[in-house]
Amino acid sequence: MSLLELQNVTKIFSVGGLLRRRHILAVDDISLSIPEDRPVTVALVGESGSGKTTIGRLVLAFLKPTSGKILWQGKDVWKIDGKERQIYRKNAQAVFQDPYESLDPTYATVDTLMEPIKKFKLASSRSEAIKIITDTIESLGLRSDTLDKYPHQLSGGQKQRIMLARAVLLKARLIVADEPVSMIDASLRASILGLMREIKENYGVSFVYITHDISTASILADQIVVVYLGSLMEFGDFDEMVTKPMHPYVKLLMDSVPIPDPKRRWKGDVKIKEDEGEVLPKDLMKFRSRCKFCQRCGEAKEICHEKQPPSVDVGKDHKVLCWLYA
Amino acid sequence: MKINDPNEALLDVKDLKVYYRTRSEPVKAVDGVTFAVKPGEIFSIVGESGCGKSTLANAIIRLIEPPAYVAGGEILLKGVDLLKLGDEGIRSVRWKEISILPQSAMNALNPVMKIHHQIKDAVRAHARRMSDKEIRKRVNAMSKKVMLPSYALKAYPSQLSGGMKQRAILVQSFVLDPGLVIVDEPTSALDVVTQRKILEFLITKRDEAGTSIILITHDIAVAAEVADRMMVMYAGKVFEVGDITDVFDDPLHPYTRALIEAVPSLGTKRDVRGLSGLPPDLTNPPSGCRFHPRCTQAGDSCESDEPRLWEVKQGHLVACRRCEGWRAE
Amino acid sequence: MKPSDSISKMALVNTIVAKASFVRSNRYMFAGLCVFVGIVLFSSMGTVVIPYHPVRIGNVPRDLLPSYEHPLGTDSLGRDILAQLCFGTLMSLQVGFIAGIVGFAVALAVSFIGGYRGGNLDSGLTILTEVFLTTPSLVILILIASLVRRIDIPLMALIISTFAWAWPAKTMRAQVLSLKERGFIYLSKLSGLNSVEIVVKHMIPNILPFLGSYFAVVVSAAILSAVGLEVIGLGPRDTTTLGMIFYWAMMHSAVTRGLIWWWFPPCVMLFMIFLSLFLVQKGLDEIANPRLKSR
Repeated sequence: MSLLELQNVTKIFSVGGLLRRRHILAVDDISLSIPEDRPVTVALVGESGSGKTTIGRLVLAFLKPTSGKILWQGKDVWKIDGKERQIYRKNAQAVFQDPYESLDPTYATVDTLMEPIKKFKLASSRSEAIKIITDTIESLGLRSDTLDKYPHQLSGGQKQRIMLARAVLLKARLIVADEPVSMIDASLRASILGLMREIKENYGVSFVYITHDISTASILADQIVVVYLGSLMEFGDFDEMVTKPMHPYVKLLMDSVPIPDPKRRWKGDVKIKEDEGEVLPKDLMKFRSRCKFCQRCGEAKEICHEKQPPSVDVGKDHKVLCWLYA
Repeated sequence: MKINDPNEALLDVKDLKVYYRTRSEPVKAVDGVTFAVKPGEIFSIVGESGCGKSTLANAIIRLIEPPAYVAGGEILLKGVDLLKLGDEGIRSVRWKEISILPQSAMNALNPVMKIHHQIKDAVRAHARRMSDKEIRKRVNAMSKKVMLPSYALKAYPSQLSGGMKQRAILVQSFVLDPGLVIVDEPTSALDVVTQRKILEFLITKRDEAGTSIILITHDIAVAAEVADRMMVMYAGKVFEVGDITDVFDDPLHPYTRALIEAVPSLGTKRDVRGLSGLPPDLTNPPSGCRFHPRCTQAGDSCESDEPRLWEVKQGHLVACRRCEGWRAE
Repeated sequence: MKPSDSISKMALVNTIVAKASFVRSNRYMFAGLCVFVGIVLFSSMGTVVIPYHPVRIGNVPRDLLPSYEHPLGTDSLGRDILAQLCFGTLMSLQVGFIAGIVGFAVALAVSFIGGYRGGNLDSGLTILTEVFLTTPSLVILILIASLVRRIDIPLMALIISTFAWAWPAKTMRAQVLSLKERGFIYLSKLSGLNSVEIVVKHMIPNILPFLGSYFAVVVSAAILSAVGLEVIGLGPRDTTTLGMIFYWAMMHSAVTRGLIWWWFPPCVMLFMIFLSLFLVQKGLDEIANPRLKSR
């Protein structure tokens, strides 16, 4: 059984008022799973418009899928209620990209952290709650005087740690981290990423690490899932995919990541067709019956424009969705 | 007008100071920055948030507004001090000799104007005598170079993706073929593939047209991929400047070394290391070397004396007390 | 002392200090509040201290010039003008506040329910708001008021509130929409809070200065609407308000008769009320959005 599973999830947004409806295909038939028996960090990689943030929101049940199911420990999260819903809510937590928007400016740190404890009844008295809170934030590298500070008195890094602390004191089993370090300076990222790795190892928490920056994912990810315009391209073990990418898009991605070594610069031309133009997400509904990458793919065949590619096994837990391998 | 001597600087910035007025102490955003950019090179300014690189960029092209003001220094473009030019003078220089692509420029596109219209407006404002036909010809030629499809030119900004908008802005900044272009974080909101395309365009511009480019970025890996020379800034000061291979092979300043080590490198299983502490408050910066509170190798004199830029090797300068007085072969 | 105690005490002290200095934090707001409180105190003391009845006709000699016993003289119906001014101010404020509170409450409900829930409900409520906003309210108010037999303060306030809610509803909805997307709102959902808790504990505290500013605007507008109805004779005749003083003054040709101490004081008082509410609103606007500060 898996801890979290997305089964053929599709999400279509309807925008516009009563008179003019438009449909935006954000996520198209995605299936993912996170195992129950061990903590795993899955890097969900894609550019803006790839649907990765939408997937994060679907996992946290902020959005309802248009079709397909989101399963928590085998149960559809939109069909459970009461105690089971509570368990899911407590166990699936998040860290967001913008630390400046993620904490209520009118709440001191202690109040922010007290709220989930009260709601999930994790302590029997206020003093017990404060003890749990203090222990948790100290174990994440924050001093106890952070507790009576307000968000505007804290740095971006401190705020991200507070968000992580929230999840840890709830003893969450899954944290969806949506670009948690992209708004933090490069020299300070390492400590937050390292902290996330420690949390996984010490507390057994699985992570869905959503990012467009593969380099940061390399610090924590066990597996990687690459999405493009709402569809899966390739997924599998992180190290394997980085060294042996199969999908043309993934090859392109891995090739284009800048390396901090002037002796190892990009070679050759980027094999990508631009003149036909990029497909904007809002036009995707017309493109459902083809590979989403075919317009830009340098190796596209005729069949790529006609049918969506199937999922092909190319290694241990390594799958590619591409006609080149079918 | 091209400079014949390849060693003579195209842009020479000497001891530039740009401060922000506040109710109390001024914020010393750029505090005594000196560097030179040669013709036909990509010069990268690397630093994290708050180091002053964007302020520096805007100051060079004289686009800073109150409460910011230039508190001292010289900016020599082909020998002419840009700070001493009047409004008419600087306008004649802007866009033709030197242009800027500001940070998040793609978000500043006019949402109710088609792209080609906006570019034409911008060009027209700085090259009043150019005919419509000439402008269109140049814009089309440049759009092909950045692989911006023709339908994008006729579209509104909301219809384009981030990558396309950024390329449109790129066309706008390069269309008059200035000798020096400042690009401020041109790819920070973009995916790696588009980023690579845009950076490769900058390289092409340098190779084919001899354009010099000042590339401002917080991502040292981006600098490593395209720059010829690099300058590291911190808290308004220059910490290190030199040839890109020299700086990466032998990062002299502890901060430079920390920046390099903070970037994970795909494919090599190297552990990343970060810095502790936070960037300083620029209204009351630390005494002596501004980095000393966070520096693992700070010595006694680092707190009292401010280090000067010292040439350790030909073309490789560093502002660090540990390196002062030292010369390498 | 247990760590829990010291942390709680610190947070409490922080809150009290914050609230006390809040009142003084913005010059406009502070000035406006001072003027407003001054008006209220003046009027309250006046109604208590002045021995003449403000409403009963003929309880003092008519058309007396200002003197020591009657600082603002008396009107043509035999009432002391200063007494009317003080009492009328309180009555006008009452209308404004009742209409303001009722209208504001409706606006809160409409904007939060529509803005937070979204979808067709939101579309419907928005259309409703727009209709009320674009309809010429004074015309309709006159219509309603003229159909009513006997009008008193609460009834007038209620009639005014039928239109007073539209503008704040529209403006607050915009706030709700932008607030809804902020990270901490999503985190509250992850903390297990339901919609009502999120609105009350997280949204409203974050837009309190905005709400205060809008409230000041609504009260101002309500008082103005009331005066509008009163000067054309649709106001409460059994009591006195600032608008009614003016109405009676007009009815007795006070302007042509040169009885400046009758018709001018209510104008000044109304101006002071609007000014103070405006200052409070401007101050709260600046607190809510510090970028508006002109310096």
